[in-house]
Amino acid sequence: MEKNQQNIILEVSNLSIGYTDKKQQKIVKNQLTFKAHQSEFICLLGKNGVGKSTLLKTISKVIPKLDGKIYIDNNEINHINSKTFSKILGVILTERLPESNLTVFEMIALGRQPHTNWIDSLSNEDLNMVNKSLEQTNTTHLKDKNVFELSDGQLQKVLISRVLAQDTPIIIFDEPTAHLDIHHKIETFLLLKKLSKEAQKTIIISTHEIHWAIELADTIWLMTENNCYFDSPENLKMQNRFQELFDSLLVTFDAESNQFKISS
Amino acid sequence: MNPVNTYRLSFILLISLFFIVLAINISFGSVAIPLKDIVNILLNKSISNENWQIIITEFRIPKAITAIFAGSALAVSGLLMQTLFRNPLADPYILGISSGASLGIAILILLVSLGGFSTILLSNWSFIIAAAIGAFSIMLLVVIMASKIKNTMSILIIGLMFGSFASAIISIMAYFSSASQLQQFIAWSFGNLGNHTSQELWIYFGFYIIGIVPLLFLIKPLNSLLLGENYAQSLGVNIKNVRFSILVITSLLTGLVTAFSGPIAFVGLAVPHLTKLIFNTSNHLILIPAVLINGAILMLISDTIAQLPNIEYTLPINAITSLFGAPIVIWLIVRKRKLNY
Repeated sequence: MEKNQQNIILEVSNLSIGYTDKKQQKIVKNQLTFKAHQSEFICLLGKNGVGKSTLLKTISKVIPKLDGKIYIDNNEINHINSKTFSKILGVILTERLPESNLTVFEMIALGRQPHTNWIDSLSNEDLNMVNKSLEQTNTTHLKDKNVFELSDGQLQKVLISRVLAQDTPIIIFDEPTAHLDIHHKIETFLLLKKLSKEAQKTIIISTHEIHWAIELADTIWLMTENNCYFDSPENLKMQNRFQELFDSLLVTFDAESNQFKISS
Repeated sequence: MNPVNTYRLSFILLISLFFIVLAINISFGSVAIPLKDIVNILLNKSISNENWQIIITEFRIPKAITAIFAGSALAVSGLLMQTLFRNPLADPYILGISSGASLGIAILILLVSLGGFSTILLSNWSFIIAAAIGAFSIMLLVVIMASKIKNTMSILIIGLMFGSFASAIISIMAYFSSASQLQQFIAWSFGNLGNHTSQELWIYFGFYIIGIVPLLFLIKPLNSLLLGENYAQSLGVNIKNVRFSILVITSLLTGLVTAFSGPIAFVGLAVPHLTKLIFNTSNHLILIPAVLINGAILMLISDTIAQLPNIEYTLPINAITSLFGAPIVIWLIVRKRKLNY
């Protein structure tokens, strides 16, 4: 086997994404063709409303694709049943969890549902997976706490543990850094990067932290009003694609600092 | 989730309590019967006083069985509603099922009094059938609506609307009713656990089992719903099917209880909370059996209180459940200072 980078896990061709509304199709983006590999850390960039969530939802089968093909492990996703799919692709959502009495351990154990039997009892393997995923995010000490007692930063890590326990090769994470302070933002980025390599996961996140994405991502999916680019941060920088995120001439992308500057 | 072993002791205590409460329930009533004779009757030995035997076997035991069915079915329906709607105020009647049953009864009373129908129509069975038709019509409407709606919260609102609609019709009918008709209707709405023949109880039991058994297969999806519908979906749960099953089971159980025993308030709302406070878990593998037992216990206690010993009057069961249940729930909440669903 060659380097892990060569193992294609997700292959998308001529994909159209959007919504079907009263038998009328509203296409957000079309003709998307790209690939993702094992152990790849991917950051999806683009401004609000450009279709980032639509793309992630389409890949995770929450909304149907309008046209084109999505292959995961060489299987078209429409031909994968929801049970099997839940063992292939795990998600972390931005929505708040409903209130409950769940402890951290119990919540992470819920990630094992695709693997447990019909009354949800945990086998030794399930218990090992839960404990392992607690260790992977350094949250073992939180295990007996109630979920609602956690801080935002702790909750974030526990949610990551939950999806790790689900044991899926692909993890999709919508705006992981949305309501975190800068300290936890960096920590989350580094943790996700580390997990993609150590646990060999394909991790796809949408984010607005452009400079960290450029620094840490293996690949960037860049969505602008008119185009979509799927390439390494270096290539995108060379082609000056990041400038396309802003249509104003007042804001320019500074390749040195990976930041946007306001020119006066 | 949690190993069942942790809860073994709690379950042993709970089941013991259930049998104690059941024994007390059968032992007390408007006619005082010595404990020794009750034991003899239960052991199928003949005793000197035939009336006592009839009171126990034909009256108190059927009533206790009805209390167990009603309490457990309402309590577990409340749990299902609270988990599905992620709302601590949800109860089995939130989808308007009791209003539907009440409407059925109101129409029955009206039809009988309009003449042309003999008063034989006001038998036990016609009450059960009228309430069942009313409850299941509302259930059918809600389930049909639910299949066309994606948002679970909208179903809740639609259920409430159906309930209000049915109540409004009842109000109008009540406005034009005679005093005796009103009295009949109000007597029904007090709730009544007694007066069921063994034949009726078998039918009660049959439908009860049809409603309870499928719960086994809902444990896993109910647990996943604790994370919200979207996470549940990402864990491979078919939300639409699960929602449909929950609605049908709740309607069946609640409609059944309402048809046989009238609209009994409070149990469905309070018992899931009581159980969660006692067991401190959200795992439905533990909660469902615990809620079933707790519901039965609360109902048996309420019925024992309603059936004040040595007094001829029986208090309305519907009032007792709230009168004595509410302070218990308040006390538990204040003591634990939290309430989750």
